[in-house]
Amino acid sequence: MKEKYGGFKKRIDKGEGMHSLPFLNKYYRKISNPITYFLQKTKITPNQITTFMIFLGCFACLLFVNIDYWILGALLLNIYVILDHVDGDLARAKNILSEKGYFLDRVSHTLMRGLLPLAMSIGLWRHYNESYILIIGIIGVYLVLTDHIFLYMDTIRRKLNVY
Amino acid sequence: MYIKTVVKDLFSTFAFFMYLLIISIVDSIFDLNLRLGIFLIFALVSLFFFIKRIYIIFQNF
Repeated sequence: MKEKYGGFKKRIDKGEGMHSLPFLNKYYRKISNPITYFLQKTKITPNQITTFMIFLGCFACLLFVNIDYWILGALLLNIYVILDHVDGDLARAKNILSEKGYFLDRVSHTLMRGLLPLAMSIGLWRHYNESYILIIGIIGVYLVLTDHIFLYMDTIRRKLNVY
Repeated sequence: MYIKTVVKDLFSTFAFFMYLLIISIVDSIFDLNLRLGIFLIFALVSLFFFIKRIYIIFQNF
C-alpha cells in the first residue's frame, strides 16, 4: 500500500538522533522530508547519497579557495546539510541502517570540517595577502581534526566500556 | 533547557554554513570584510570545542 506523506513524516520524525539539533532541524527538514519521500520510491541508496555528498562537499570547499565564489560554495554547503538529513532519513525509511553507512557519514563530516577552514584560509590569504590567516587556518584544521579523533576515541571507549 | 538547545544549535556546524551564506551575500554587496571576521570566529569556536573536549576526556580518566 502506498504510504501518504503525512504518515511518512511522522514515521521519520520518530527516528533515533532526530532531535540532536531541534531548532535548526525544523527548517532543514521542511526541505529534506519531501526529497526523502520522493527518493524512497527509487532505487537510490543512502550510501550513494553520502558518496555524492562527499564529492559535493569537496567541490564546495574548492570554491572557497577563490573569494569570489564564496556565495556558491556556501550555497552548496547548505545543500550538503540537506543531503546529510536525507541520507539518514532514507536509511530509516527503507530500514537499511548499516555500520558502513554510519562510517561513510562520519568520513564525510570529518573531511568537510577539515577541508573547510583550510580552503577558507587559502581564499582569504589570497585576497588579503596576510600570512597569519594561513597559519590560523592550518591551526584550525589541526584543532578540528584532533577534536574529531578525540570524539571517536571517546565513542569507542563508551561502546567498549573502557574507563 | 530550550535556551540551551537553541544556543547549542546556533554554534553547530550546520548553523555556521547558514551564517557563511548570509555573510557571503552581505559582504559581496557592501564589502565589509565580514568574511575574515567569520573565519576568525570559526577558528575561536574550534579552539573552544577542542579545549572542551580535552577537559571532558581528562575528567573521565
